[in-house]
Amino acid sequence: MRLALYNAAGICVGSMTLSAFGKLTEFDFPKDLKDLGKFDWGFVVDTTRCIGCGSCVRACKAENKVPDGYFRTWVERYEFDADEAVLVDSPKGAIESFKENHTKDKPIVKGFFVPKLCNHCRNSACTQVCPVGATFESPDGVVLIDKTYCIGCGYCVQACPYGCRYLAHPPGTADKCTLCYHRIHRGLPTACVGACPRQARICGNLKDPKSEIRRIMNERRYHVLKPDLGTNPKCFYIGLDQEVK
Amino acid sequence: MQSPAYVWRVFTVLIVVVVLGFFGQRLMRPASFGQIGHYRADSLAEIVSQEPVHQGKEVCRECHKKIWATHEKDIHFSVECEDCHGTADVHAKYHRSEVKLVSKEAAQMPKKYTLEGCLFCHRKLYSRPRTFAQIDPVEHYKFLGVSSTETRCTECHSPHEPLFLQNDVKKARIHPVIYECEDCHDSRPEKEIKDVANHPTVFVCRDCHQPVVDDFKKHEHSFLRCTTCHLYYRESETSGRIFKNSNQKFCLLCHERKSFKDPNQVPQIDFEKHIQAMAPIVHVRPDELKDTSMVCLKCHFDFVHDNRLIKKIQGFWNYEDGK
Repeated sequence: MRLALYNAAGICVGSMTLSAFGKLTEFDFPKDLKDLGKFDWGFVVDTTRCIGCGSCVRACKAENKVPDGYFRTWVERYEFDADEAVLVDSPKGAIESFKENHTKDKPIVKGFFVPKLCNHCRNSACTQVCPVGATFESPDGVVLIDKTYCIGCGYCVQACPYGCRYLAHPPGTADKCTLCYHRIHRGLPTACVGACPRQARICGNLKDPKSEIRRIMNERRYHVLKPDLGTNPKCFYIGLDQEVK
Repeated sequence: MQSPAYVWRVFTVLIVVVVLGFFGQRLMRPASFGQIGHYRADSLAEIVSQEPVHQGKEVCRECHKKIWATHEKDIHFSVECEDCHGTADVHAKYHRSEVKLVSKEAAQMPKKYTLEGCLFCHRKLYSRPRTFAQIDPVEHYKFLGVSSTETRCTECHSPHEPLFLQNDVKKARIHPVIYECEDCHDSRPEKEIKDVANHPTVFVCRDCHQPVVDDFKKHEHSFLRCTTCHLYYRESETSGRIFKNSNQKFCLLCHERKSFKDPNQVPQIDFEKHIQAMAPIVHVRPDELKDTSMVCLKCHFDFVHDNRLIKKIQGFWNYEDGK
């Protein structure tokens, strides 16, 4: 019944968006959706530059009005003691940055920060399990959620191997990083990229050989999270340690 | 053999359900569903139509030109205005539009100064890159005997120009990498590098600037490191940028008299009074002296370096003074 109601609502919203396209041309959102195929949005995180300040987390929350207790992006801290025991923490998703960790008896010998966000996989598990087609990969390679169509079953939340999705209450639909789809199509950086004081995050068009992201990927050595799952993520990490999953 | 009536009834019901389902689905399915994939194509336009909240620092430049230029020149240039001041969407809309939809109070930038705000980036953490500026707040307050832990960072440090650089940070001179002992050791080791067998080769200031460093060690500031004043920011494994830093405000970080500072720690002056008293001695007007960036070093250069030695070196490299 709920799906039927959403479907009916979809017709109304669908007709309304025709007028919305008129506005969108102001910032060059392609009139022909096939033009989106010229883009393939990707993300690079340079973990060697991250200082764990949490500016990205705060910016994302403000930009996308993410409800309290949920995060579209967060920062994890990895600390190693002399016995190579690993301690991973991310208090409140690092929205208030970090404090020195005093819980360990042994001195820490290595530490670093790893920002996390949706990997916008090419073979995303979340898209495959959605029973109603509310989660999809856009023609420009961004995994998005149609919130008017989502029935809130939570399959995608369970399927995402990176823990990047959540069911927010209200409105009871799945939510995740959209790679600030509304900003990148206006030529603006994503909120987290703009807020990062150390340029540890770079977002760009992978199909453009002259883009900053391509230049960095050609120069630096990078890795992706959980490559063995075959999800083919498009979030590339520079300086990733083997302990980061 | 004739089928029983109930079989026909079942078939009829099934056919009605299938037909109703088929037409019902066609009727209720959004028009754009399946246009470019198994989803509603219109949802792309809906997602894009979300209004951006963060405006970016170029928007701030429209009105706050002076402070924007100062901020852009100094080391915090990479920190967005909205990182510290909060999102500017309401503020920018209010000041751009002639019709005021919200009150002036509601259109103010949402974030105010907090100590934690500075410490988000600058709290000393083991996991932070060693080369990044970071402090332990307790230890830092002990420095210069700051009495109250309520003292704001902004009492001494200007967030818009934390280093008071004379030249644009992005145009600062490239300098080969400098290693400080603290880059690898938590505190300065008691032994010299040369006393330790097989210590990796490191470039210290004295390797290239021996006469200046040797002379500096004879002066009052000898306990300071070269990079305390000649700030160095490492950009890669092999190089970084060195900032020319000799203006009055930088000296005043330590030497200005403030109510929260312990007066017995280092010599401190009341800047205004000091300028008024000293201007006649150097035969210039006080306001003229105050505007000079090198005002402290005009008289006190010998507390730091031997003036004749530096002039000789500057002549050798053909540097222009203060540029």
